[in-house]
Amino acid sequence: MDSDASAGKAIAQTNSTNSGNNLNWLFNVAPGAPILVSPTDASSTDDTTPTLSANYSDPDVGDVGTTNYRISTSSVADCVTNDNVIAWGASSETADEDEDTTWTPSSSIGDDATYYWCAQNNDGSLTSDWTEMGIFTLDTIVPTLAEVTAVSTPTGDTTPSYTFSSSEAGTISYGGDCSSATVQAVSGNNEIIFDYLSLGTYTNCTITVTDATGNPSSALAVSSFTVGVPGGGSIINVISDSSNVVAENIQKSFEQIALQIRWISQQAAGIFGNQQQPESSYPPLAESVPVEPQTVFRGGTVISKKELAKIAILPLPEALKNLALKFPQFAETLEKVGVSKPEDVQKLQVAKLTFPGLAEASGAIAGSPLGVFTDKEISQIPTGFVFAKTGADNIDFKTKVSFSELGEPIKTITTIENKPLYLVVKPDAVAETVQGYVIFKSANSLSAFLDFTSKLPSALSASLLDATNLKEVINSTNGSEEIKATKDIVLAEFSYQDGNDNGVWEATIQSPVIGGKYEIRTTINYPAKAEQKQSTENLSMIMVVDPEGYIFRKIGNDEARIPNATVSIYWLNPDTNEYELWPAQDFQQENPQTTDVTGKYSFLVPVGEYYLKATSQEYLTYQGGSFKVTEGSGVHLNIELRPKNWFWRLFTIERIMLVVVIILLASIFLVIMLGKRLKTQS
Amino acid sequence: MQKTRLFIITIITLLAAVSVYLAVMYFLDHQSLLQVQKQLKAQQNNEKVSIFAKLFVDKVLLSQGTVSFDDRLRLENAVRDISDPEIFSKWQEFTDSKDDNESQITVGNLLKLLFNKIYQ
Repeated sequence: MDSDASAGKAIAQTNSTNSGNNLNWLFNVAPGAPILVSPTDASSTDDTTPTLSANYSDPDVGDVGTTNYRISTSSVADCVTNDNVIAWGASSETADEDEDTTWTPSSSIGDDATYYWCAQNNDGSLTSDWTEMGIFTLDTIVPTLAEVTAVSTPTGDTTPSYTFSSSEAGTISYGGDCSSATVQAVSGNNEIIFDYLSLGTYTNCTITVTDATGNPSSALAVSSFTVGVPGGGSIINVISDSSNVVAENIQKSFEQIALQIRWISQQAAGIFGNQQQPESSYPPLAESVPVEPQTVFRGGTVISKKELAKIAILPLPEALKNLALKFPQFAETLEKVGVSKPEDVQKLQVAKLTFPGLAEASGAIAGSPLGVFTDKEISQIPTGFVFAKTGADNIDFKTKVSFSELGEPIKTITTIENKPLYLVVKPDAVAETVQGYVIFKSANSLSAFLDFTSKLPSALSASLLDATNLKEVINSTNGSEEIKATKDIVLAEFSYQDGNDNGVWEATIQSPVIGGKYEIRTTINYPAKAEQKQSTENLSMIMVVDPEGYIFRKIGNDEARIPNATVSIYWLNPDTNEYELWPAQDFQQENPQTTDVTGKYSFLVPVGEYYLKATSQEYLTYQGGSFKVTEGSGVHLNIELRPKNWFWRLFTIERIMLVVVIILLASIFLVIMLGKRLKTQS
Repeated sequence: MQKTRLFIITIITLLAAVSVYLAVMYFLDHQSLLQVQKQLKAQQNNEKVSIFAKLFVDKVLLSQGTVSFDDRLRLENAVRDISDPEIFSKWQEFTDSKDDNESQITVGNLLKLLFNKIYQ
């Protein structure tokens, strides 16, 4: 009879004909496990006899039952094994499908702690499984509040601060006339700023903190305070009150009035928009400025110095700015002479500045050929500037720079006729090709110019003559005036080479054979970049070519060049402090030099102290005084030699002729006188 | 009696009119004064920012080596003298930079802010 079908337990026979058939029996199915309703998981309660509630469900239609409840203190709760259960019971009422049952412990479940609970449905015959455990916290302790810092009274601050302590974190609620934007309290001290309070005395302000469980603290009464003046009255009230008190209160009243006036003035200032900005707060100075410098102050880490220098000299004309960027000394000079804006450029027009040669500008030893430059020295070569060298690439020309009205620099070097010239330029970026041109500007004299053009190909000679002021010079002067170009005539074209593939381009040219001014124009061609055309940069430098010096002797007002004269240059050796023959072979020159029929000579020497000596067989030896060369430049003095025998110097043709004439006249006179005497005697 | 009342009313009316007139004049003058004070403050502020910016460029950006303690102190005093929390914040970001990349970014931010402040 106790037939147990898989779906449940048989409780009544519905058909007596065949008791062995399950279809003839009514089966009771166990209720479903309850769903915990309240308290919700991980919630808090201050009720020591909390009411538990679960949802009852039973697959049997119309079946009712109860729910068994257990409360445990175990953290590894196991309702089935009934471990650590401190309270248990069943719901009193029956429940239909999907209805909640409730159960309340008859006595306190214990002290504040975390509790676990579970439930089981019971239809009177069968029970469901016990549910997983729910968790709730019993918290019956209310937060305790205390005043820490009361509002100073009276206060002129309409948003005064107030500090209180709370034993628990929670939500703040305000009572009375006070309120604040601060609504969350922490366990410990809490500083709050009251919202704007108008003039008056505040006695009814309270603060309450409600903890997470919902336990509200007792209301903390904020100590009475006054905003503006005590008593909460207006000026009139204060005066009215004070008129009735004794004399000692008068002073107090005046103080109150003063305070109120100050308060009113503050309010008025606010109305007029003259509110003072809050003062900034800074960390201690010792913290901001430690003895050991921070990383950014240790040099070289901040930003490219070159880029920043652009900012420092930003207002100057572009060409001037670029020059200052490439030569720090020049930038310092600009700063010292007060050139910091375009109007100051006028100051530079009267100046002729000297820029260092290649070795000095690159930090190399003076006189070092480019071939021995270190990688660092090469990297330090100023870009976009043409440097000139001579000798065996070991004499640096310093560049003289003057400025136009627009601040455009005019660079000039000075050399001597027909000398080798090494040009060096380092482009700002990787260049494709670098081309150079020698352009005629002016010649020192007409005769020299005509002599020069006569040696040129006829086509070039004709072009050159046409591109000068030659006609004007011929018509107006005796031929000594300077011949100037009226058009650009390219005398020579040359290419720079980057032989070492280190970004430094070099070219070797020969200086022109007649003295004058020439422009060396350097064109740097940069490769085309994506979607950009090829760009070029033109650099200009004036080359002043001085004529060579020559040896001569004077004949009346004329000069006669002396061939086969020997010219030597001596330099003061700083090591021995004695003059020695200058080692010209180290500079691809000869010393001494022997003059040809033109009597010409010249030396290109580095910085030092020198003197010249010229000898010729029939002339007295010439030894000049010492002179200093402060930059690589040419020595080309014209030297006059005097014959060795002073006696022979007296017998010039004119003088001999004069003597002959005098002798003849004297003879004639003597003959005449002798003739007269003979007549008289006869 | 009637005349006396009329006289008092006239006086009160005149006084009220004068008071209103003076109040309006005061308000207008005060507005002008505020405007001038604002300009003056902006000018003074620009001067302070310029001093700091120049010091920053000279002593930090263009320095050849480690910035001396005295210069760092001058910089700190100069930036505090500006009394601008925004500039001070950017300055602190710069001084707290730990490497080149960070310093490049923070120095850019600082300079940009300085120029913007001067422009204002």
